[in-house]
Amino acid sequence: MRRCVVACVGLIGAVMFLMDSAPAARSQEARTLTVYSSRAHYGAEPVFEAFTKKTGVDIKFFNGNNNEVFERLRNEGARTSADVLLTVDAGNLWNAAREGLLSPVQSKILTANIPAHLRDPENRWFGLAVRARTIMYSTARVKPDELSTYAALGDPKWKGRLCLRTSSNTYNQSLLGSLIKQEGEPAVEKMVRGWVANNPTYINGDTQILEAIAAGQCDVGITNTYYLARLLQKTPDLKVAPFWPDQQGHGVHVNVSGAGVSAHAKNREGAIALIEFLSTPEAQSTLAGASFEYPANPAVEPHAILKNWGTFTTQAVGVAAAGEFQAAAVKLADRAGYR
Amino acid sequence: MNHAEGSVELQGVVKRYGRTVVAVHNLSLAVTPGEIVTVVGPSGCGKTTMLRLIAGFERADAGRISISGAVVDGGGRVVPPEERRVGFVFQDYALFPHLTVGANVAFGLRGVGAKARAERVSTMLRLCALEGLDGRYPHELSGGQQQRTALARALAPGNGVVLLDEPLSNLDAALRRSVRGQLRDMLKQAGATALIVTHDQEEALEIADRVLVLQNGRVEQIGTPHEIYATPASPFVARFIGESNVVPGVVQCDGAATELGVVCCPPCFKTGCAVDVLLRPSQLCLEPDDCAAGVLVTRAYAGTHATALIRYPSGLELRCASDAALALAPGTRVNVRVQGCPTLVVAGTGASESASLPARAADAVGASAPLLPGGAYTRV
Amino acid sequence: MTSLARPASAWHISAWLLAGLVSAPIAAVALNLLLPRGDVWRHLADTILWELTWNTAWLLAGVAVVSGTLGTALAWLVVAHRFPGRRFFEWALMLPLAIPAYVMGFVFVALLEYAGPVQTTLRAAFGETFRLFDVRSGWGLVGVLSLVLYPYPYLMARSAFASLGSAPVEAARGLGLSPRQTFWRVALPLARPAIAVGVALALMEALADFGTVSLFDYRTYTVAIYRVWFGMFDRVAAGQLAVVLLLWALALLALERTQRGRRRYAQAHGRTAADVWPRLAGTRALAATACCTTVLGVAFVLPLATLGWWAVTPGVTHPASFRPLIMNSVVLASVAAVLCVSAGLLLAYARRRTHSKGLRFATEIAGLGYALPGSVVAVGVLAILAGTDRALADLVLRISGYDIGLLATGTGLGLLFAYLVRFIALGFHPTEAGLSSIPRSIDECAASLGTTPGRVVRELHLPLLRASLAAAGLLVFLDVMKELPATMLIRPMGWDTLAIAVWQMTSESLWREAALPALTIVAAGLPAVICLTWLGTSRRTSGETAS
Repeated sequence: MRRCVVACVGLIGAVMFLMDSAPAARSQEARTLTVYSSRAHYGAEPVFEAFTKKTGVDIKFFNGNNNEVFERLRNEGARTSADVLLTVDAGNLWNAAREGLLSPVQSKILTANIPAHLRDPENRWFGLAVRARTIMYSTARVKPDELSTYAALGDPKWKGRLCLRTSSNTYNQSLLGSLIKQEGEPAVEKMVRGWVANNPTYINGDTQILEAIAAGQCDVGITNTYYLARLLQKTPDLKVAPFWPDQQGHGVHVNVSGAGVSAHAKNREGAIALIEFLSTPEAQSTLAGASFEYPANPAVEPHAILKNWGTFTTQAVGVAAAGEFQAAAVKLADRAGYR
Repeated sequence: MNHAEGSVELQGVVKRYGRTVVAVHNLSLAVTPGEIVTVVGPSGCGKTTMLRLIAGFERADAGRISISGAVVDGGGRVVPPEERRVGFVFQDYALFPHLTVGANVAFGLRGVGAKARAERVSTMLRLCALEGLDGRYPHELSGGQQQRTALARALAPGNGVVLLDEPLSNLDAALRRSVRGQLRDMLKQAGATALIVTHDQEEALEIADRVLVLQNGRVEQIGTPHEIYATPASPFVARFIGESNVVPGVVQCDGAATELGVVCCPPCFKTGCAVDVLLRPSQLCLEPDDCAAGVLVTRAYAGTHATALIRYPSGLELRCASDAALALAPGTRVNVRVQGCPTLVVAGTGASESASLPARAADAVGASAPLLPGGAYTRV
Repeated sequence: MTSLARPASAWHISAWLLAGLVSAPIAAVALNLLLPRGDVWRHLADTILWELTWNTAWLLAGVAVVSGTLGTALAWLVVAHRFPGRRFFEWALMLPLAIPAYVMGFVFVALLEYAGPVQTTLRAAFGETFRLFDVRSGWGLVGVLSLVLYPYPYLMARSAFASLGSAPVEAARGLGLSPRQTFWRVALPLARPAIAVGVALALMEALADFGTVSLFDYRTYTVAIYRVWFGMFDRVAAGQLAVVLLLWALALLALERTQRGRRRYAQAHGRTAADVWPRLAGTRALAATACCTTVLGVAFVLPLATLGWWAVTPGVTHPASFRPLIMNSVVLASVAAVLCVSAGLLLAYARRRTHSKGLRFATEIAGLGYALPGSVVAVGVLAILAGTDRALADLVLRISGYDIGLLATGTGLGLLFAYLVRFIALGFHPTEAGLSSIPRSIDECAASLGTTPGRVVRELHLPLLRASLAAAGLLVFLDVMKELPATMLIRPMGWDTLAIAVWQMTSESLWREAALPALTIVAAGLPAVICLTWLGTSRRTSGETAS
């Protein structure tokens, strides 16, 4: 027994010794930047390597799910090693700002590069790459003039032909949240009930929805644009295309992948420098181009595939609405029976 | 008070389970070194509990337990079992399944060199007739071999005291009979004081120097096997050990008058007192007699003798031993005669409490003290 | 009841400390109950609460029945019959344990969904309107989870059947019972406590599962917890829902205890149940082999082959370097295994030697982390770690003016603590089952021979417990290899594991890219599975009880 305890203590001690501990990292404050990111990737995206090359500042990443990254940041409190928070959903950024995890940044560059509706009204976070969540349809079986708005998908003619992600998906929650701010809860609830009445097939993956549309399991669905772009790059003759709903009305719902400076950042200047860098045209085209997103900087052209789809009007409500009304959206979905 | 190495003494020991169950009630006992005492009684009478109290697996609620003169339980002090130096043989033997016989037997040998240990092990194996088996594993042994291994293991450390909990109950009947004698020999050769719990009364009588009869946590009687058998102190003991017939009678001036005639009666019983006469089958003698009241109902042949069941018109049934050679057919009228002087108890005293019964063994300290006032009454 | 337990001994104190430490995060979660969230509960009650309850109950029942039946039947087949390939299948049937549930999930969904290869081929053959069942349903989920989890009841049942030895089975045969009757009337009742433990473990995993369940769009309490937590931004209400989940787990454990009955100990003699009846021949042997092959094929070979196929498909990008990922995963899993098994052993001993009902209850509570979703446990752990860290750092700052920063949060120690909280049940249950099959008379006998308690443990218990400890260690190792949410939340920077790599791909619906890291998880777990089953099935001449 005693040997067992000694062995265990020894093992744990060894592990602790091997582990990276925070104080060591902080000793090189000016030369490193710590980014907590929920942009899933392994290894650095090329745009970050470009930043390091340009400024000589090393970037360390901590990757995780939106939720896990948020909780980690929140629990670490004032002693967090995070300098920048980078997420893939505006709702997440809104929540982080609300919990006081992000601090406002006054930067002319950012104000100039990022349109107002793509950033926090209080400048605590800035959208960097935009994705639209729009109606995707099978070009073989559906004609564009059959589609009009998000709510029109509740029309009985789509019964059994609709594929949706569940309402547990963050992107859908943001979609509904923005729509609630724009049109009010009763209208959105009516819309969702319409969807549910059409017996949608629930598929838990945007790529899988697109594949299902292509294969014929359903004819229309709602997904993010970059998934389709990715698929189209692999299989250019995929018979699925995006439709921009509600162009005469409120426009397409967009969401952002954005960043903010941590309220307790040790390297605040570096953090601001990184975000500013990411908003510059060169960085924008690298960042958004690689992941098939729309650049937030209006001066930058999107990837060719996206350009092919043409331009579209987007919602006037700021993306922050996604977070503001997310809780309401979830409750609405429960009421309407939207799984 | 015996302070010799290997003595065991209990004084007023009480053990309760919960609030209602009293397993051992004010038990007192003294065992001299080298003595073999068997403990018998019906299920739940507290015999195993008593053993476990002595071994230290249970703690007494009251009273005192001393081993080899040192108090191990009592007066606020309790010695853990590891330090009591009392060997214990379990009913299921509890052999260590992953160790060989040799390793099992050697397990309790501490603080001795390897050579001394090996010698001791081979001595014990020889003593317990296990030569050549020291490399075997428990599951490769027969029942009898396992039992002897358990015994060898308990004896190996040279403890003065060994406790055995139903050691033979897992063996078949024939094996049990042959092992009985060996067990006694092995214990005597080792010179250990032994307390053996058993529910087999034949075994109890054969192995023991003294027999302790328990019921409901109390001592019914303690004495030599002969005393227990021939002069039971209570109807319970009489019925529990060997077969016994109970015949009602009334005390008269010349003895006790029963259906079988007048039997001798000790003077302590007052005239007119109703008594129960406890008769062993061996104390009864059969004679065919056409004018007798008793009728032979059945006769069970057992080789060396036969047990006959005699029925009287009053409903009384007696079991009598009869000569095996004597051929008696069922329905024969027989006369039953009482040989010698039987034990008498006051009528109506049941198997349990008999406050009227004087000099219970509980008060007796030490070996065979007289049980009934006036000394032993019976001779067979 | 023996007096071998000494009050306030070192055992007691360490056991209480451990139980307290491990229960602290769970208590932290339960503390949420103190805050009012009536509006959320009312909303839930009005909308989805009944659906959640029904779904969760149905899922648990389904997994219990399917995995329990599968595991027990296979165990009996393999222990009591002789047929070609039996020795191989005895350990090979454990292999599906090496595959994470969500990997199994996305493999089967990808294979069997409408757009997947199976249905596409069938449609090509039978026409466009041909529809197969929808794999994304409750049934599909139960099927996939059962394939992943049947090794738990299988492992426990196999040990129980093996430790019967041949005696009861021979006795049954002598009484004229057929093998099937022997199973129902002799073997199954004797093995029931062990099977109950296996099924309970499987159900706790099913209860806590989030990845697989959400893949199938099936709403259980766990899904609801995430929904409330990150959808409604309500941490407190999510914590309260987690407490409901805890109640489910407690109910499960209570149910499992009722199946315990009286512990029977058995000694495995040289002969086993399989030696009792003649070797299977002809069609029966073929059927037995086919049965095992099918299960293994579907539960292990098929997913592996699919993953392999995806991994070599051109156009799939792979991470630059796998080696650090593998190292991290294996190191964490190994250390966690040792830690959890030691802790489980300590708790098992405390349980054995105490009469204190309080301590027994505490050991049960300590194991509840297994039934909670990984994220919930992780957040509870993080809250405790961060709180302690902050307090400690503030204190040191005040005293010395030096800011030591965070010591436990975001370090290996914190992560190991999270694994301990989460998986101590796996270290505890098999060990406790093994320990309780060592009769107390052995302990008492050793005491009567003057053996110190330490020596009893070292020389008597540990050898007899070897198979149980190995089983426990292996289960923890595999689970930590597959673990995602706690690792994601608490790991130190730069300590990505294979499971994180898999997540990175699947979160972007890049299932094919997830194949290689997933395969690596399985490959890294394989030696451990083989090791464990070798330890569990080896015929030891010492007659040591098998697990």
